[in-house]
Amino acid sequence: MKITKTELLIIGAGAAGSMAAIKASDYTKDIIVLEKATHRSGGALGIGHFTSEINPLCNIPGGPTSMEFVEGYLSSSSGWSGQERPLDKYIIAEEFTPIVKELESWGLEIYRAEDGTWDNYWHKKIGERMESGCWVKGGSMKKCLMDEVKRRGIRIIERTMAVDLLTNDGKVIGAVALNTRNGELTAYHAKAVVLCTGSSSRSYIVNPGKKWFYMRDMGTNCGDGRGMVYRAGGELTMMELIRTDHMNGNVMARFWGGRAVNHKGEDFLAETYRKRWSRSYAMHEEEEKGNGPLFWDSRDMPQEGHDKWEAYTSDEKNFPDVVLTETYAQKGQDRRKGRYEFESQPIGFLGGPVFNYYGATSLPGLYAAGDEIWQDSLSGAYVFARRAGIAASKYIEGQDDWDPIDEKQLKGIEETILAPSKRKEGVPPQELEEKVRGIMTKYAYISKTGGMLEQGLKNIRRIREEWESRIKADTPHDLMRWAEVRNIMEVAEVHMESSLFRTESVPYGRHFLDRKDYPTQHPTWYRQRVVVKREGDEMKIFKRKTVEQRPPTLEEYEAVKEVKP
Amino acid sequence: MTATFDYGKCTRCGTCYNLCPLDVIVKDEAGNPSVKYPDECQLCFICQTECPEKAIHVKIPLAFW
Repeated sequence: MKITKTELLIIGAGAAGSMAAIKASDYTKDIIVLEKATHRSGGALGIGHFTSEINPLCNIPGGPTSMEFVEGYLSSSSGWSGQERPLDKYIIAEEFTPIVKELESWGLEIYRAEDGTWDNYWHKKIGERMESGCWVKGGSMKKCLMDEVKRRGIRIIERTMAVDLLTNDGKVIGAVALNTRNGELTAYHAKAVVLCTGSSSRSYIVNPGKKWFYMRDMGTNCGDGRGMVYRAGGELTMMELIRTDHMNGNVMARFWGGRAVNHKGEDFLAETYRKRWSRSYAMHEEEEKGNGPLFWDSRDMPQEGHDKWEAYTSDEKNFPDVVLTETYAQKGQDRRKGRYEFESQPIGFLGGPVFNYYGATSLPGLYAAGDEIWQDSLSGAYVFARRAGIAASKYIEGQDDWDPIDEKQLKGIEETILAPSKRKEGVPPQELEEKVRGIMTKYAYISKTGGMLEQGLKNIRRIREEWESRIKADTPHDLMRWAEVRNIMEVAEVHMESSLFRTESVPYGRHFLDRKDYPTQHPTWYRQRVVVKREGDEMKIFKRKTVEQRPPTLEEYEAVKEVKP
Repeated sequence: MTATFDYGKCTRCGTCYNLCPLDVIVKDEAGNPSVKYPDECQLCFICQTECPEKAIHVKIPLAFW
């Protein structure tokens, strides 16, 4: 296997990977970024998520202060789960606005009001939680990152998927990656690695009966980072908390006068936004109450709203809101005349690798950012990618020597990944993926019970035992799907075990756990995180208490303000 | 089928083949693109949006209606 040395290896060239690379390049020029798709099309930005607005923008005229934002967060449902770290939110509140200014200097196009200031919204329009954002031309988001990466001469290797981490005595020293076009493996020997592979959206078959790559989130996101961290013995946490959302991007138009309604025509989302700020759980709750199906209704939206929506979605720079418009056009839907039905879908899990305030994971030399560790949108991705990029670079400064690669490990990875290409008979990896995601959909969907989870785990383990050795890959493309389904299976087991272990429901927030056999929150679980890691061939699962659920003090922020390795 | 190609307009520039994030598009020896893995198309429309000749039409399959 070919070995390439690079001081810093970044895996994934989405929003987080691009930002981590840009920030790290202030410290080291020896950087390689691997991207399974291409820089233009990879990551959530590639297919155009976050095309419309960015938030939270704190400490700007008329907007909330960082402290007001965190207080609002804690008093809304997302803060009630008792599992997140308020200081993470404070860090985002403090550091995101300066990053947006930097993005604008790199070419991000932000809509401006008549007085020339950012076209700011929300804090005046929606009630109790203090939050504000601004409208952007989404198509310029990835482009400005690509331009900046190019200006800095950072090397991006496209169509290359990291399949496993390389370790030496528990320390991460690189990764093996598969070229998805020619099927060749390369070992990237590094002093530090930043994981930015996105979330694990490809875990279910959403909308049963329909094709299984069609989902709300990026289709390439199948938990590659989580799978690699688990196999390397790193800790994963909060993997029981599911996030759901709907397919339509129409919620943005609510600010212009549209409504999300249940089948009775009641605007359930507006009330939830005011009090709890959780679209995910609100939709699930509404469906659970028997108030489905749910609709987006903009029939009585004022003309001004329609005009703004029209202007917004017809601007080619807003790809893919243009795409949404096309989808509606092909279906013959007209928002002025009819309601659109939408449905909740699981789009990933809150959790991922355990990380500190600098993006360092539980494995020395391994950092993580973006949806890898965080499902709290683009602001968290940028802020923690900046931190992880700087922290990893500072870590490298203290690593004079290259830890040797374990030849046995390299050989083992090679045999596992290439085995399906050597078989003459077998089933394609796509079939295994469909089966595994079918098990997740049947036994570990949005609402869960212990009995179903136990059976789901039995089924998935039986499938793995019987079928992993029977997968056949005819093309490099199929090898990629094989490498992906390995991660989908790890994530499935971790999610089911974590959900089974947590004997309560976390019935709030953008991320939740709905255990029908434990329908309420239980005090003994408050502030307790579920942590999972692999020891030998065993999965270890345990509780770990997290921080107090109160706004941080200024001193606490000052202590972590400067990024440390 | 999701993406369909107008080979009269297509200049075999390879943009769609190079961009597809799920890597479902292949090209033959003459450079003609086609969708090899239609079940894995996410309907992101990037091929249609970025095609310089407007030679691609992504059709929403019946399953998504």
